[in-house]
Amino acid sequence: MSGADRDILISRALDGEATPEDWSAFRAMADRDPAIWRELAEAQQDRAELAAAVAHAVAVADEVNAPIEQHLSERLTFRIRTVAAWSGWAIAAGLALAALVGPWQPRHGADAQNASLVPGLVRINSPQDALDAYYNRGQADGTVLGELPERIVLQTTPFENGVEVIYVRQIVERLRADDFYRLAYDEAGRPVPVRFEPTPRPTRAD
Amino acid sequence: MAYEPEPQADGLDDSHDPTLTAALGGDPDAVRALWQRHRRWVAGVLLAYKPRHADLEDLLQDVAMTFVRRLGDLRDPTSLRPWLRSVAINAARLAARKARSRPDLAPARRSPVEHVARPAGDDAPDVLAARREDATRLLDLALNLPESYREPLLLRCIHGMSYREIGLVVGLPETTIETRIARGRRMLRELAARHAIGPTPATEGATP
Repeated sequence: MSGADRDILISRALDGEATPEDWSAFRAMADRDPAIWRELAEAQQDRAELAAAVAHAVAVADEVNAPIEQHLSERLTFRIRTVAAWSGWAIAAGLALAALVGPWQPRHGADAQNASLVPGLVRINSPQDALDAYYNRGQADGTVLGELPERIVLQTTPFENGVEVIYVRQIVERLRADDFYRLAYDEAGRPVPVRFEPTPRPTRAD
Repeated sequence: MAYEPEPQADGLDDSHDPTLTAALGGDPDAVRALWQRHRRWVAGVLLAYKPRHADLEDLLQDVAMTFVRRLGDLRDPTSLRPWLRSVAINAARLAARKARSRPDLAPARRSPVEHVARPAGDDAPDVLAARREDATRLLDLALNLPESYREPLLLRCIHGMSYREIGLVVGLPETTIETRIARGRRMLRELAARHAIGPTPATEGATP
């Protein structure tokens, strides 16, 4: 039996993988060379010590979780930046929209004196009022379909007697375009847009 | 709805793993569960490849981030483990390149498992302390073995990793893994004997 075979036999015995045939071969070898028993004992001690050291070193892994929230937050930041880059167009579109629908009146009898006023355009008392206007106009022209009931929580922080929650609202829109891009990352981890061909996908109702 | 990970039959069949399928579909809870399943051996790969000074936890954070960002790009579920291994190796090699490109400001070169060497307390038995010292030195020596022996040998020390599972990660047949582990152990024993670690060696009669 070669040295390599001897090493494999000892290694199998250490790992609990030795078959009855392996043990027979081991005993036969030990009859000729009793030193193999000592070799096995030493190898067992090495194995136990190395396993303990490795287990201790990699135990830190139990503290490292998948950074889902950070990833979602990064994606959101990227999208906000993308929106900001197109804000010039958005403002122009907003002005055009206001010109079409006329001055917008606050709902629920809100005090017009407290309303923010964009001169000659719209009055808005709260973010919800602005969102309602967006929904109304979007649903009228078919570009806004609704909002998903699930909200994605990004961060929760204790706040006075309660909890402050930062979350994402998911609004479903319809878009018709010639080119589509998805978000990907290059080797350095930088976000890059990648053109792709969307495949027709049935609706949930289908 | 929170995702409830389903147990795998043998833990190795990624092609029909519902947790992996859900994670590839973007389910955040499944992504979390999948990472938890694999993070220990990923740490083992990092330990095998990282430069001595690099912090294992920092590197593992980097790998976890790449895992979350890029998992959705994975097309073949059976390539999860090799892909994750390559992400870990790249992170370790990037750390090595960064270390080469800037001066070492650390006051002294530290052992990757220096904390293991310290006795648990002043009243720790001498024997226990000596064993811990031996374990630390043995790991240091194992980190000096050639990569092809070092990686499977360390992965074998991660609880529950069989020859087959190591083979799936490394991309080699079980028999090759078994041979490398056996040979790696022999090399480590010889190194330990030269550094007077552990039991007095009985290398007489043993073949290299």
